[in-house]
Amino acid sequence: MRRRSLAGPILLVAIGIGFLIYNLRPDIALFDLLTQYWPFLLIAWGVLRLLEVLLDYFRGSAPRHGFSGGEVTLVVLICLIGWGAYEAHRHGVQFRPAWEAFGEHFDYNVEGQQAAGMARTVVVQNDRGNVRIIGADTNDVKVTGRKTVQAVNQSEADRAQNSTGLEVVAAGDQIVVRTNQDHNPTTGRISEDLEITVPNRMNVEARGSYGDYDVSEVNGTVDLSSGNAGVRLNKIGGNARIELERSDIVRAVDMRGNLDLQGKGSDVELENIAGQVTINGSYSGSLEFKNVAKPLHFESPNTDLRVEALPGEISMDLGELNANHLTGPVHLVTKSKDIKIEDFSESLELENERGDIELTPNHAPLPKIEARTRSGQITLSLPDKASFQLAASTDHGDAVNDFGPAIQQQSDGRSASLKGHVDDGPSIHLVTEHGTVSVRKASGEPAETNKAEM
Amino acid sequence: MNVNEANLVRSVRGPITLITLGVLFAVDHFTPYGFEQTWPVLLIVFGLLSLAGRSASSASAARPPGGPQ
Repeated sequence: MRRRSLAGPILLVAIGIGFLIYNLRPDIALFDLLTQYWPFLLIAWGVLRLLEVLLDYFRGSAPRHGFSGGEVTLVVLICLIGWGAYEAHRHGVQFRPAWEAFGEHFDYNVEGQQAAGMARTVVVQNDRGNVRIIGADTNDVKVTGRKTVQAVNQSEADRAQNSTGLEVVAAGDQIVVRTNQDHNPTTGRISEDLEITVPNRMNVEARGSYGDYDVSEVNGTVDLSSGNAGVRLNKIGGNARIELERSDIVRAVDMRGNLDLQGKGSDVELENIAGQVTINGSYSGSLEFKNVAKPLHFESPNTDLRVEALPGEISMDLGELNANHLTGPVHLVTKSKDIKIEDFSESLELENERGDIELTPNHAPLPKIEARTRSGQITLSLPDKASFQLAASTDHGDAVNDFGPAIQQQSDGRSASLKGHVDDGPSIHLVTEHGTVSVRKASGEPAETNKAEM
Repeated sequence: MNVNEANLVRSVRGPITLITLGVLFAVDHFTPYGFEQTWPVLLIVFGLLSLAGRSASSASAARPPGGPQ
């Protein structure tokens, strides 16, 4: 006689708790959370079944059978739906359960105004909705916008509207813009898109959980934090600090101060930054950095990149890094990227696990170079008249040398190495465990290829 | 040695597959390693489970005749 697994009843309880949370705490984006954390449901289910089986075994009773056909179907279904939901979520689709669509949307105009006086900071507290902040030559903080309330009928919507009025108040040296969405007595969702004009001398501070920020022409500092936001900064005079749990894009252009970005997201675009740039987080999309006058430090779980300044540009994604015109010392540690760096100065320290490396320092005097990869080719293209000291090696692969007899080539069986110096220059050290290591002339003269004996 | 060993291996197969699947998806969502990179782990787990099943059943087959199956 087969006993039923505990998984069924527990699943029922979990679903009940889920709906309860959803009804009582609409501010928790349960469905968004589920799209991310659903794999742990599979793990929990598996662990539960495993424990049941082991318990039976040690009690000496007959083990339960494996999964029934229904269960297998359910698992496959969960995987497909979870995967699809996650992908959609990653690309910015927001999940609402279907029955929410039955509610209607009611729109209200909101506005407020407050003389800034001596206040130095505008604080915006808008939980859901987009916020656009524009600095202007004015003395007032002026807010206009549109509020969308989700409700089953007009009176319910009015009830929500009446208890969540927009406030623009002076508090100490702050002007606070509050949308009070947390005072909503109904379960319908409220979202507000605001356009705020502030005196351009002021600092800006904004927090929310969902909605984009667009800040421009502000000369003070900018401090943003959000659960999920796209951020666009344009012409900011002060330092900017951005903290996002999730974002589809962060773009900062023409900043005179420092930029500090933390969190997770997809794309990051920076251009014309006069201050220091610090990025700490994981970004799955494409990253483009252009024209950064001060040190840039990018740190993600897989990559650590530091440059002293970036007159040129760096673009990277999860599998590739292309850079041009860097001011060294350059320091790059990463796991699996194909790396191309052209025109860099001072020194380069590069460590890669898997991926090809292509280096083209096209100005003499050459920078000092130290490059390693575990698996991948290393190609170094040097100006014809370069002077340097070279030590290059590969454990499994060929060595290619364009600089003639000044560089000694050794190969035995699978490994090969290049050693020597051309005049007296900085040291260049290239190491790969699997792959060809080549030192070429940038002019593209035919190489004297001495292949390792096969 | 328990007679149920072969049975045990057979019954943990499902849960272990499920856990592996969950872990791989979690790894996909929260680390840069995608499922399209990590799926061979599933093959490895299947292989190990069937190896374990084989050694368990051969151990019970090696028992003297008359012993419980």
